[in-house]
Amino acid sequence: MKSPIISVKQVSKRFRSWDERPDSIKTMLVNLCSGKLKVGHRNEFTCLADVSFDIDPGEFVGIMGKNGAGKSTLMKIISGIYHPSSGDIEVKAPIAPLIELGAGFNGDLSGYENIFLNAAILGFGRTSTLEALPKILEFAELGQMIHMPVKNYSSGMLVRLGFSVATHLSAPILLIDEILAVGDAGFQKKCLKRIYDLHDEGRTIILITHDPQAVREHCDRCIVISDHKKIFDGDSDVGASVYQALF
Amino acid sequence: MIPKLLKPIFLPFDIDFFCTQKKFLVFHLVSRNLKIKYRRSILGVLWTLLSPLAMTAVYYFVFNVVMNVQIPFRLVFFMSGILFWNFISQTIMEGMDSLVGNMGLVTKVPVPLNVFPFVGTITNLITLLFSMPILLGAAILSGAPLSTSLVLMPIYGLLLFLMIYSISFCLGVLYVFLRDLKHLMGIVISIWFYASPVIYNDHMIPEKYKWILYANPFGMFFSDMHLIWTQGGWPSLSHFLVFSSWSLSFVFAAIFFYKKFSKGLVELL
Repeated sequence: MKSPIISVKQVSKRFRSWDERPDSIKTMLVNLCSGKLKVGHRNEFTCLADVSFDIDPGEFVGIMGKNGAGKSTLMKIISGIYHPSSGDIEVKAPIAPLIELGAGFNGDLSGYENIFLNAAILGFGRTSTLEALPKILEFAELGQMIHMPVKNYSSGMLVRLGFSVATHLSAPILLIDEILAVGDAGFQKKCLKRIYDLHDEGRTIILITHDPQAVREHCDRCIVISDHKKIFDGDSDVGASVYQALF
Repeated sequence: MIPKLLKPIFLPFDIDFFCTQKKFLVFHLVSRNLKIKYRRSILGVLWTLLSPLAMTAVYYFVFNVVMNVQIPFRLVFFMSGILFWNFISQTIMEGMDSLVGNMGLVTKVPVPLNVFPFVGTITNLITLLFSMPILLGAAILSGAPLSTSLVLMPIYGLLLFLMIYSISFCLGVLYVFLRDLKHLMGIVISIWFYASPVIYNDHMIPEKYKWILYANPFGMFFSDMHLIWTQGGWPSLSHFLVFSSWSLSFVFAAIFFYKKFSKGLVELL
């Protein structure tokens, strides 16, 4: 029995909002003078309720669910951007979150410089970036353009570079959030192939998608989230049907 | 980043307040900032030095020519005040915006929030270091009696760095909650400028207002800078201790803020 690489234990996430929270010093002073210091009615909004699952090393898990079901919140909790309101999350290996491609790209720097910046932002060090560099350059297919400022790139080129950086760094876990609907058909194919190759290499992949076809074809397992709860966890064919039955 | 001696103080806090685990990220963000700053224009570094130098020239003219105030080594005096003040005010104002301004990034990628004010402070510190040769040159040319007290500069620099980084971080956090803080800080900074002995000598202050010098976190700093750069004197121990305590109290305040807010802050952005 392998020990899970990610374990999510009864994770809940609630967001709070206040009806009249003062958001400026001016409002606070006005409130103070008129004698009311309350922050207004507090609302709590549950975004994830009691979600638990384990993911084993090397699994290819698809996470499906309607818009607003809580998928992105779950991703942000797994990648460590949000902290759960209750419950525990344990992630035992570095994650490359592909929530946004080319996070932190700066228009005035060249593509080459942005590779290092992006890798650093994703949490990688010098050695792993240098190691991955030749493969990143090859996959991005930018040729001499790599030394031009990225503000002159087309959106397709930006995506190519961002995807290439994120998928060639040595993260054992990849978190992919609906980003494959970018680029032309040829490049989409290439991206998908790259993801399957990574899976074959033994990386753990979590794919958030609305495409039941992709889940059926490639995922080992599917988790369906509906109304902030996990409603299905298991075989990807069945999971895709459960997802489709939601509509 | 933490001097060995200070390490035990920070151990109980168990947080990466000085971004030691993010050296590669800090390096690349700083080099990005510097590249952007200097690549856009041919004058490059000169532009960022021009503003404090122009201010020095203005104060020199006003105080020397118009008001005829008697301060020894006036040019070095104003320059040593304004170069540091420029670093302080610029870093604080940028630091305040550093979390809100990077909203797009921190909601997409897990990056420790203190990295941004840290990087901002380092970037401006490097610009300040670029301007040190000019100050040194001006002091030598005008014949100011420099002495070995200059060896204190790295220590003062470190304490100033700690203080400004901590203030930037705290203001960055507060700015998330209070979006009109920017207007207020604009006013505070300009009052702070005149409340600190940047362009005047601390012994020009009437005796009954001397307490302002101690109550002001930068009071001792500027008075010591003037002493070191225009008289070559050694700052008194009491001055040094007051400044160090101000600096360390801000560090502790910032660590408190970090502990209290670093977990839920991203959701509020």
